[in-house]
Order: sequence, then C-alpha cells, then structure tokens
Amino acid sequence: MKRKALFLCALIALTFLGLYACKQLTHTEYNIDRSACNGCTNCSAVCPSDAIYYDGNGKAIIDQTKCTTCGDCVAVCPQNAIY
Amino acid sequence: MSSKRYLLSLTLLFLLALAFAQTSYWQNTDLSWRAGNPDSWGLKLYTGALATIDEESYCEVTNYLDWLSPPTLNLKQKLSNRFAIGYYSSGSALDYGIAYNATAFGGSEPIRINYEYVDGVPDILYAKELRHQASIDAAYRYSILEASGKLNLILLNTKPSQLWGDPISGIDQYLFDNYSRAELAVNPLPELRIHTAYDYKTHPMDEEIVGTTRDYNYDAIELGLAYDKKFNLNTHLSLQGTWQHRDWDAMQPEQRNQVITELRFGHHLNPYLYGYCSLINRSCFEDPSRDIYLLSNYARAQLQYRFPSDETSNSFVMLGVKIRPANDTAFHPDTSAYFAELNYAVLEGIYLGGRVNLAPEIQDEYRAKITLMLDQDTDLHLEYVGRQNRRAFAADPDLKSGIALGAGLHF
Ligand code: SF4
Ligand code: SF4
Repeated sequence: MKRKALFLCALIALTFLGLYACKQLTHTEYNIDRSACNGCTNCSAVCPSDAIYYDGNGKAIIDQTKCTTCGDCVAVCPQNAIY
Repeated sequence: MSSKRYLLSLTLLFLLALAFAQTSYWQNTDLSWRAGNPDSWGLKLYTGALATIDEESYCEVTNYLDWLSPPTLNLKQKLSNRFAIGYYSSGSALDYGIAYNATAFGGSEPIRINYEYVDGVPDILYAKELRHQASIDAAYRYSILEASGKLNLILLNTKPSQLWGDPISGIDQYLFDNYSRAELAVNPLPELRIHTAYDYKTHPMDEEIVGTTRDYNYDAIELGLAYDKKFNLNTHLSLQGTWQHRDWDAMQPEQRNQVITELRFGHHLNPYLYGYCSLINRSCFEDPSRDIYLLSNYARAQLQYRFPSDETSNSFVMLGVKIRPANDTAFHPDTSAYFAELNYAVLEGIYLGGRVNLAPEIQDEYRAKITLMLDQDTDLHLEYVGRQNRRAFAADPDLKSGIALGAGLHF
C-alpha cells in the first residue's frame, strides 16, 4: 500500500514538473476534459467560430482548425471542463 | 427542410421511441429573467425518453430548446432547438452506436466561420440555420485485439452575408465537416492498453469564392499507452500517455507533435466521501532534439460528501479546484477556478442549495436555489444567479445576473 502511495505521489510530482518545466509557446489550445463535460451545449452556443461539435455520446470536442482561442466558451461552462 | 417538416419528423421519431417497452421519461423546464439593459426573458425545455430494448441495447431521444430574448451579447442565436436520437448496443464482442441530431437556430447572428483575413476579399459571415449531424461508433473485440471506428458527419445550413452588406447569393450556404477516426488496440493485460489511431477531417469548401487559402482539413496519427485499474470497489487509477503527429494548414510547426499525459485517480474514503483528481498535460515540439513547448495543462481535484441523513442522496456538499495556469506569451489568461456546492434537505422535501464558482481572471458566479420536491420524481425550484465578469475583453462584459423558476419531472 505504501509503495502504491509513493508511486502515485511520484507520478503527481512528475506531472506537475511537466506542467511547469517546458517553454511556453506563442500559441495555446483550448481543450475539453471529456470526463467532466455533461454535454449541456452552453459552449457551442457562444462560440463565434462554430468550432465546437459533439460526438455520438454528446460530449463536446473543440476543432483546433477552426478555434480562434477567444476563450468565450470557458466562461459559460458550468463544469469548468474547458482548459 | 422546412420548419414544418422538421417538426413533423421530430414528432414522429419521438412517438416511435415512446412505443418501446420499459421507457423512462424526463422533462425539465426553466423560465428565467435576467437583469440588464435591456432585461431578457429565457426559456429552457429539456425533454427526454430512454427506452431499454433488451439487456444489451437502448434507444435515447432528447429534445433541448433554449430561447433567450433579447440574447446576451455572447450568445450567437436567440433560439436553438436540438433534437437527438440514438441507438446504442454493447455485446461481448461488438459495441456500436448510431446517433442523429438536428439543431434548428432562430435569430442567428452572422459569425465568422472559416475566418481568414485576405486583403481585398470581403469578409463572408454565416448565420446558422439548421445543423444535421450523423454519428456512427463501432468497436469489435477479438481476444486481446480491438478494432474501432468513429464517424461524425456534420452539415450546416447557413445564410451567408458580407460583413457590411446584405445576404449574398452565389456562395455555398452548406458547410460540411467530416470527422473520422480508425483505431487498433491490443490489451496484453486486462488493465493495459496499447493503441494506434488515425484521425482525418475534411472540410470541402469553394476556395475561389470564399477567397481563402485555408482548407480546414486535418489529419493525425496517434500512438498511446494506457493503464486503467480498479483496485477494489473504492479506488480507481487511470494513466495514459499519447503521442500525436498532426497536420493542418494553419498550425505552427511546433504544434506538429503533441505528447498528452493524463492521470486520473478516484477514491471512496468511506461510503459517503468521494474524492478524485485529474491531471492533463499537453506538450508539443517540432523536433524532439530541440525545444519542447508547453501547449496547455490542467489539474483538477474534487471532494464530495453525501449526507447520510438524507436517504435520497440529494443532500451533499462538494469542494473543487481547477488549475489552468496562464500562458502570457500566447495572451492566454489564467482560467483556474475554485468552486463549492451545497444542497441540503432542511425539511422533508425542501432543499436549500448554493454554488460559488470563482475564476479570478474569467468571472465569479454565485447561485442560490430552493427546491420543493412534490414527490420523489417531481420538483419545483427557484434559483438566483449572480455573475461578475473578470475578463478585460469578454464577448459579453456582463453575462447578466438573473432568477429562474423551474420544474422537473422524471418518471
Ligand atoms: S476558444 Fe473561442 S473559438 Fe475556440 S472553441 Fe472556445 S469559443 Fe470557440
Ligand atoms: S459548456 Fe462545458 S459541460 Fe457544457 S458541453 Fe461545453 S464543455 Fe461540456
């Protein structure tokens, strides 16, 4: 059990290192955490580029070729699923 | 399709689904008023039916109507009505799902779909009218091998116009997006999965008329390794690493290769207390021997406690945090949020609830709600929503505070 906890802590530490260790690009991408999305359609209702569509299970997906990274969808997501 | 034929087809499909045995229905209605200049009135109607056909398959029909008049500045239409019907089956070797949805838009604002500034070419804007989407998902398993595919075909009927002009003719009013994915996977152990996939998107468009050099096509190959294990009934760990080699016309060279790492961990500390965390990191590079860049990252943790005193499990308290640091070089704000929610039965059948969502660089939102449960399946509720914008360049600087009166029915 102790080893599992240590393994998990090491993974979390590594992921956090990954979060901050790289250089920042002059571009970013907005993405949706599938497991947090409830398919409410708020984000696509405000997207000014029609860049959000839904898969067969009703989960939202951002089409990166159309997204202009305006961030309008972030403010209306009730699940805080857009990052 | 005319709106009459659209409504008739929806009604027929809906009646067809209702004819199935073992059907459950739900209906949620919310009438709202939002303060602003001017004030707006809104109506949300969410209706659904789920028909269980046999042990392996079910059919779901939903209709979601969302109307707000006049719309807030950020909304791109006054009315949308999304009808969806889907059939899903999951067997020992084969899973598949077929779904269709149609969204009708009313009072749409012309928007810059497919926008690219080309000197001397007038801006073309598109007002959305009707969107059709067909989706097919299938997965076939044979021993430790799995082959799967997804197809999403979207046809959007629009009314094109020029930026400062009237509706124009001569350019295609239909926009077509075709998303597909094929995947092959092997599971050497029940909890281990190695996969390779190919994503392909096409967007046929009349380049000469739209005057753009862009084609909006996309393709990617992917290799991934995933570990997913439920240690007992209380603990779930999922780890995933994916490398993607992508290509689309407008990406920066550094976006060509993307490495996505995901970690999700959930644990029931006791029958009433559940916590989970997820970490997602997306890094990218053009050439691995040179610089590696951070594209986006996200960490989330949530803790939920259900009050044992309420047998219906509707009384709970939830605390959560989402961390998404800023990327100043890309002018991306910090979209982190801190949130808490409470719903508690103060008297039998009467619940008081509240939610606070603080996103210091996006917006703060406060909700208070009183719910009266008329019986186990029917409720009446009154909700207040307060919002405060924190963004300097929001599409709608005041998303508007307001109150909503609603009813829910499930049977
Ligand atoms: S960031 Fe803007 S353009 Fe991109 S998906 Fe969100 S709302 Fe649409
Ligand atoms: S607003 Fe959030 S929860 Fe709703 S569909 Fe979009 S991503 Fe999903």
